[in-house]
Amino acid sequence: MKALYFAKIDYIKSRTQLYLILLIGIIVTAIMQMSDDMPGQVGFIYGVFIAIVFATAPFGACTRKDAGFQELLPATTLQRVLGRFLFGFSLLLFGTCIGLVAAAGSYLMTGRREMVPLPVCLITFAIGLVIITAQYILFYLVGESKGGQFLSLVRMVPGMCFFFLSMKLEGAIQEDPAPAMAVIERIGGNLDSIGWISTVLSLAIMAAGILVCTRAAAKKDY
Amino acid sequence: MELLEVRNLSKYYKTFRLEKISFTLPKGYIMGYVGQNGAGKSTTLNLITNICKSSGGEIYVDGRTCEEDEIRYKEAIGYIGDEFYFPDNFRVRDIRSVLKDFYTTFSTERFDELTEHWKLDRKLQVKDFSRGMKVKLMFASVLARETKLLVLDEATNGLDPVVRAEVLKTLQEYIADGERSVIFSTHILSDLEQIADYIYFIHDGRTVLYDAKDELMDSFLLVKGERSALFPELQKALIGVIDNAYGFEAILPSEKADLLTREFHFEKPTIDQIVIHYIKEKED
Amino acid sequence: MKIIISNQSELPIYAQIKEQLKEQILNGQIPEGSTLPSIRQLAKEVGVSVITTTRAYSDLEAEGFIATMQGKGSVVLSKDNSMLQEQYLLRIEEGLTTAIETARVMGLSEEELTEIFHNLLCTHAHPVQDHSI
Repeated sequence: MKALYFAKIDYIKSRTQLYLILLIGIIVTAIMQMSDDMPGQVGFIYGVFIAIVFATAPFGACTRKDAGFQELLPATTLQRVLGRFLFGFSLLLFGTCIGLVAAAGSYLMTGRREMVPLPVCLITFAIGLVIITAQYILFYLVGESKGGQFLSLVRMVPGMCFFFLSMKLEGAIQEDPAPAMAVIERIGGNLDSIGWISTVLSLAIMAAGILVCTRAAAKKDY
Repeated sequence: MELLEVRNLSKYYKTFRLEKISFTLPKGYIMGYVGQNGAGKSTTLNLITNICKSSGGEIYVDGRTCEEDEIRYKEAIGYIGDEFYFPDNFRVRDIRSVLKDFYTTFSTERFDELTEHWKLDRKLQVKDFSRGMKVKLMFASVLARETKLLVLDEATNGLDPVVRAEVLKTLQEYIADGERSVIFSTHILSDLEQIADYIYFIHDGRTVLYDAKDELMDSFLLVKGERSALFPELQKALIGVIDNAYGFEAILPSEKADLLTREFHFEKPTIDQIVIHYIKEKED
Repeated sequence: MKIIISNQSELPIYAQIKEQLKEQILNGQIPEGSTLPSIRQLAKEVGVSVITTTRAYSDLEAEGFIATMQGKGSVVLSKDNSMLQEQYLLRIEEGLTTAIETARVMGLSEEELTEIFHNLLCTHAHPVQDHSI
């Protein structure tokens, strides 16, 4: 329960940024409606990208003193870290939803593109989760409040990489589908199970990440 | 019954060491934690609130350590810092709702009463509050729930005299039922002079003096006189001799008062003067 | 009851409280049998530390002015009690001693001094009003 309350603190703290996400979501959806040659996945990938970027917002807004304030609250370190992950996780869900809404919107409006297949959703989600976990581990290792200094770096790089790599991949596949097709062939019928496996795997990685972060945070001074 | 007990508390940083701090604070009393900037005051208080983790020693608040029961330990403490610790974009109502989530004893009625009494705008983001309002808000957040120990780190810094007097009154009311205690650090020593029961004086991470304030003030005399009138025996007994163009000033342990001859003027010192001369002595 | 703390005073704060309470008990402003505010109450009102006030009270108790009972607070004792009587006698002696010393300085004879004393007794002949009712 207290973890939820910590997530609530994060939400209040990053209120402004959250409004921004909504705005971006609307813009993305709008763009998707206007351009015909964008694959439905782009909106989805963009949603996850936004989530990855904004999942670090509480670290950015964190000073040494208000990290101390959270440490003062009567709760365990595990609850505190759990709250932060809950925030990231829910943001990712939210980003995914935006992506889905965008994709569904364009599907309904134009009827020309197919819906994003579920396994692709799951894999994207899993990748997003692993990246967020990695970012959080980094922040907790350096110290929650010291994140500000290299925040923009940690924040942008994984999200950017994720975004551009997926775009590149899309492009590459479109240009010469052969190698990709071969891989897909191979994965082929297993796509469903791969989707699920990657989801479970990413959840496991997050759980491990939570433990690592808790251990790091418990030893830190604020 | 001791409310706060600190035993051999140490904290090692690369450039600073807090060494073996030990003291006790009984229920219903106020302790003033005195020292220069960088002497280790905040470090000690941060260790008590468990914002920082100690390198050695134990801290008991109301009979338990933080390791034994982190939640109850933290619930027993109310902390007011020299810096404002609520996130910048919080409003009074956000703070109210967050505190309500976390503290079982938090009373929203009392909180509203206090914030209204102090005229704290509920819709304003706290980053737009003045220093005085911020301190009041921290006080409201702490006084609206049941605590045993108030920890104040330079809380009266930057406050105007009216608010400062109000704070001191609040502290005295807090301990009035004899069940709760206050430890506060400050370098505005006149604050302490009046209301503190115990004084703990720290310099460079080590204990210099620790006693009941009245005892402490009784045990020293402030001596002034001409340098030329000093004789070796007295000079040895004097602590922290500070010279000026026309004479000297120092403190002297009261039991050595027999040494004073008619040439010297003496009076009872303030805590300030004791501290100044002790630091002078340490530096020489 | 009134207590004024002066930072300029050479007396420590506990002694200032003690002396002022003593004065008011002796001249009847604080009647015997009345209850003094609790230590913590007084400390809060006057704005001094609890230990300081405790010391003032325990000194008053040691000198026989008040008795502190658990749960009942501190009660001003009756003026009949022997310790207090002694305090009164002490005060009288102090006053007379000052008079005698002053007379010596002036070179006043014993007879002249006794005469002043008798005259004063006559002018103050009416019964002293009892404050303690």
